[in-house]
Amino acid sequence: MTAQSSKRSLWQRRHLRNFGLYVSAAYLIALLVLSVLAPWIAPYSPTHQDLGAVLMPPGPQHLLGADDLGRDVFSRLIFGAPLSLFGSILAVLVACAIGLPFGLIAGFSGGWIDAVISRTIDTMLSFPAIVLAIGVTGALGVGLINSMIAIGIVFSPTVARLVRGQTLIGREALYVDAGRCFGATNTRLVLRHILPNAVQPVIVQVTLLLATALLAEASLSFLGLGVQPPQPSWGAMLSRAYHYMEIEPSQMYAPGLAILMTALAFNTLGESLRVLLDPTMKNR
Amino acid sequence: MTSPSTEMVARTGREADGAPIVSVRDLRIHFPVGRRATLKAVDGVSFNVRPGEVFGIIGESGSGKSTLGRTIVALRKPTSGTILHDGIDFNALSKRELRTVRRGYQIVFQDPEGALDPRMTVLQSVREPLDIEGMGSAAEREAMARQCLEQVGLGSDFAGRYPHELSGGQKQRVNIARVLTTRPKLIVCDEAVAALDVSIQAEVINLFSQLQRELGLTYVFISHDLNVVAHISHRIAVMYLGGIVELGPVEEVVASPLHPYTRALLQSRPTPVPASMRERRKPALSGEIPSAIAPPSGCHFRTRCPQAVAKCEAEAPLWDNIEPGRWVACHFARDSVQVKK
Repeated sequence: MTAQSSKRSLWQRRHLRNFGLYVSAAYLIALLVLSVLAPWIAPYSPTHQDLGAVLMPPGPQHLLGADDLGRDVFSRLIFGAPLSLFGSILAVLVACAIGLPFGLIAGFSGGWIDAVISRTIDTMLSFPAIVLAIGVTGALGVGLINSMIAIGIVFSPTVARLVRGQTLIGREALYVDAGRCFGATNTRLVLRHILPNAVQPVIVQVTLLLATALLAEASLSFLGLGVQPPQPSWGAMLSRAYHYMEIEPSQMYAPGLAILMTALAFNTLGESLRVLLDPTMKNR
Repeated sequence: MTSPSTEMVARTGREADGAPIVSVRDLRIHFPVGRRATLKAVDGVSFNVRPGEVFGIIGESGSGKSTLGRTIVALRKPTSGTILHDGIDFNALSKRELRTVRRGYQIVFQDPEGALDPRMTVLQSVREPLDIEGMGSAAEREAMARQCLEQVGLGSDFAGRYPHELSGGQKQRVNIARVLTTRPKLIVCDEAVAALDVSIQAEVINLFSQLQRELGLTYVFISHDLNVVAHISHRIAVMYLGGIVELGPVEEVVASPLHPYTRALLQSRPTPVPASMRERRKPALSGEIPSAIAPPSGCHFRTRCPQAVAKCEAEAPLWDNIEPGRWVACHFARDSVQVKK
C-alpha cells in the first residue's frame, strides 16, 4: 500500500516537473516567435501615438490599453520582448563570463590568488547593486547594451562566489586526487571534473539571475540609464506605468505580468535542466 | 593451481632482493596545526618495497599510514626525507615529467564512491587514464578499458552505468580496473576494503591476490585489520604514531612478534572460539593512541606499553636490524630474542 502510494507520488512528481518544463518551454518559445514576428502581429507601431487614447484601460480598440502618450501597450509589449530577453540574457552571459573563470581560479589555486579574488568579490558585494550598476553604466555610457553589461558585472561576484565554493569542495574530491595520479593536468581536472560537478547550483543561480536581470533592466530604465525612449522595453514600460499608478493602475499589469511570467519560466526551465543534467537524478 | 609463473612471482615476493620499486628514507610528513604546533603524521620512516611483493602496513587510525600511502603516490609532499621510485626522486622532476612518471604508481582509496566522478559512466572513468596518456585511437582505448573491466570481473553491461547504480564492491572493482589501465608498477591499497561488507571484503581481497599473481603486481597494502594484512602480505610494517615499530616477513612477525605493540595487536585479534572457551585475559591494549601533536618522549609507545621502564621515557629506541630481514624499535627486543633462543 505504502509502496504503491510512494510509487504514485514518484510518478506524479516526475510528471509535474515535466509539465512545468513543457509549459515554460512553450511559453518562452511563443515569446521568441512573438518577438520575431512583432512587426506583423502588432496592431500598431510601438511609437505610434493615439492622443485620444491616453491612459486608456484595456479594451477592444487597444487590447491592453494605451500608455500616457497614447501608444498601444500590447504592441509595445511585443516589440519590447526581444529587447528585454536579449538584455537579461546578455547580463547573465557577462556575469558568467566573468564569474565562472574567477571563481574557478580562486577556488582551485587558493593562497594569495584566492585571497585577492575573494576580497574583490566581497568589496563588490558590499556595494548596493543599483549604485554599482549606475556607476558602471556611467563609465560605459547609457543604452541597453551598456546597462546590461553593467548589470552583468554587478552580478558576476555572486556567480564567482558560488563557483569558488563549489570548486573548493570539488578540489578536495577523491576523484580529483585519482586524476592527479593518472597524470591529469590542472586544466583537465578543472574542466573535466571540478566544473561539471560545480555547475548544478550555478544553473539554478543563473536562472534566478535571468529573472533578476529583467527587473534590474527595469530599474536602470526607470533611472533613464537603460533602454532609451522611445524604444520599448518591459522595464521601461513598467517604470513609466508606475508614474500613473494612482490614475490608471491597469497600466502596470501587462509589463509586470510579462516580467513575472518570464522570470517564472526561466526558473522552471533551470530547475528541469539541473535535474536533466544530473545522472543520479535520472530514476527519481 | 600452481603454474610456474605463479610460483616465480611468489618467490620473488619473498626472497628476491632486486632493486626496490619504492625506497623510503627517513621520511617525515608534518602538518602545521594552529600556532607553532605541528602534527607529525609520519616521523622518520624508512623501508623498501621490492618488485612483486605485497608490503603490508598496519596501524591504528591516526598512526599515519594513510598519509604515508598518499605520499608514496606523490599526492602529498614529504616535509623531509626522500622517496625514490625506481631510483627517481619525484621532487627533482619538472611538473610535466612528474605527470608521466607518476602513472606507474597508483592508489586505490578507502572510499570507492568518492574516487569515482559521479558524472562519468564506468567506461568513461576507466578509460580516463588512457585518455590522459593519449595513446592509440579512441576505439583502442575503449577496448582496453573494457578488457580491464573484464579482468576485475565486471562484464560489458556495467560499462554504461553510473557509479550510483553500483554496489560498494562493484565500485571498488571499477577503481581497481581504472588503476590497471596504467599498467602500474606499484599500487597503494589504502584501506581499500575497509568500507566494504565483510563478505565483499573477502572477494575484493581475493581479486587483489589474483591480480597480483596474474600480473606480477606490487602492492603497498595499508589496513588497520591485521587479518586482512596478514592474509595478503609477504612482509608487514607495523606503524604506531607516525613511526614503524616493527618490520619483517609476515609469518615471522605473526609467529614471534618482537615489539610489544605488535604482540598486543596479535592478541586482540578476534578468534573463532566461543567466549566461554577463550582464555581470560586483560585487554591487550588500553587507552587511546596519543596525539601526534605532542607525542610521548622517548619511545612513543611507552604510555601504553606493559613493559615500559624509565629508559623508555628517556631515550627513543633505535631502529634495530635484529635478525636478517627483521627490524624493530624497542629497547627490549634483543632480550626477547635471546630468551627465545
